[in-house]
Amino acid sequence: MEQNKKWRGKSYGGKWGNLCFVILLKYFGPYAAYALLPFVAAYFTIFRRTPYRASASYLKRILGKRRYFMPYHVFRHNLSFGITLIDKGIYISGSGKIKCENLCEEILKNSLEDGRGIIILTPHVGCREIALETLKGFGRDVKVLGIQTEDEQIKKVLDSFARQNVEAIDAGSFGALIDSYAALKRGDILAMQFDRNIGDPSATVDFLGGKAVLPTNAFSLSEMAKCDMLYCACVREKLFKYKIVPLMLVKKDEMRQKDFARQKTESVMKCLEKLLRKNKYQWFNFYDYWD
Amino acid sequence: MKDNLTEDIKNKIISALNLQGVSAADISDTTPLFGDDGLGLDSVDALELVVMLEKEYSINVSEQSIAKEIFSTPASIAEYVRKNSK
Repeated sequence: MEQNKKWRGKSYGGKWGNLCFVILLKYFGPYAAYALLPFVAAYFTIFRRTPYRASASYLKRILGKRRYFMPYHVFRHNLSFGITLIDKGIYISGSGKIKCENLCEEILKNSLEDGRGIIILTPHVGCREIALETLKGFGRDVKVLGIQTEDEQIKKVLDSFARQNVEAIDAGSFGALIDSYAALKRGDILAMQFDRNIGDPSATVDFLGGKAVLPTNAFSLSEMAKCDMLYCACVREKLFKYKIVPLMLVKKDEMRQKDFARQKTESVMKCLEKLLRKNKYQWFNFYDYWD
Repeated sequence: MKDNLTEDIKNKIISALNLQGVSAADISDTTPLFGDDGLGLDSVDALELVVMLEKEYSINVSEQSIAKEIFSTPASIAEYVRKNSK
């Protein structure tokens, strides 16, 4: 549970910072918001040491020997994070400017065919909210199992700008898994994140040369609700263009022997590692991730 | 006199959760199932209990708002089963 102690789930920017971007987006368009970003990214690179250290800790691992002049890479990482936040705002505002190609469409259709739901597991890569909006196109209710950590005031600012988002199940509540199970049995799509341990049953696996603790409760849910699990990521390709890429599918009828959850988690983290090597500035777990 | 349904439920809890070295006699009717002062079950165990009620008694518990109350002790589960058995 060490990971849980380190991660504070605190949003960057505060109420006024977020409000500033929302106003820019609303009245001056996305380019104005993008134009402000390099200054904000530079500020975070120079003055915010805790996120700097967390970013550098990840970048050292992903860059390997090419990790010269770390502040430059941290700046690129912060910039990429800012772009993703702005893109999230543009997408959920319903402007239609951002396009998302779904490479998981066939897998999803096949998994949903028998009327059962599906568990979608995403990492903190690219923009998850874009993936969630895309999932609404399958004619099923979409629910998100997670912990609400957004500051109440920041949430109000963002909600004032965005159209209604998906329904959330509070992972911190006693019966979160019970609600999730009921949703899956009804045929809903249940989304959760797989690369951040929040105190659930977990497995320790190798990831980017270190040991990472990852949640495994999705395996229990999938087994009991008899539904597939799809690991995927919503990656930014270029300006206004995202794609949802599949990482791994766990079928409901797969034989589940002892250590199944840990082995699968280890496999999917290898897939994630490959994805991150191609998109190294798109992983947004800004806390000290490894032991 | 022992309540048969509560005893049955205790045995099914032990079996569903695969509780090693625990027998029905070790659990009283009012032993809290969750929390440090009881059996210390967790959220995945709660889900196992939901599935157990579905399989063994054809009873659905689909709302977490009532789940905490239902699964607080073996006696509370028995009471819920009695009320909802078809």
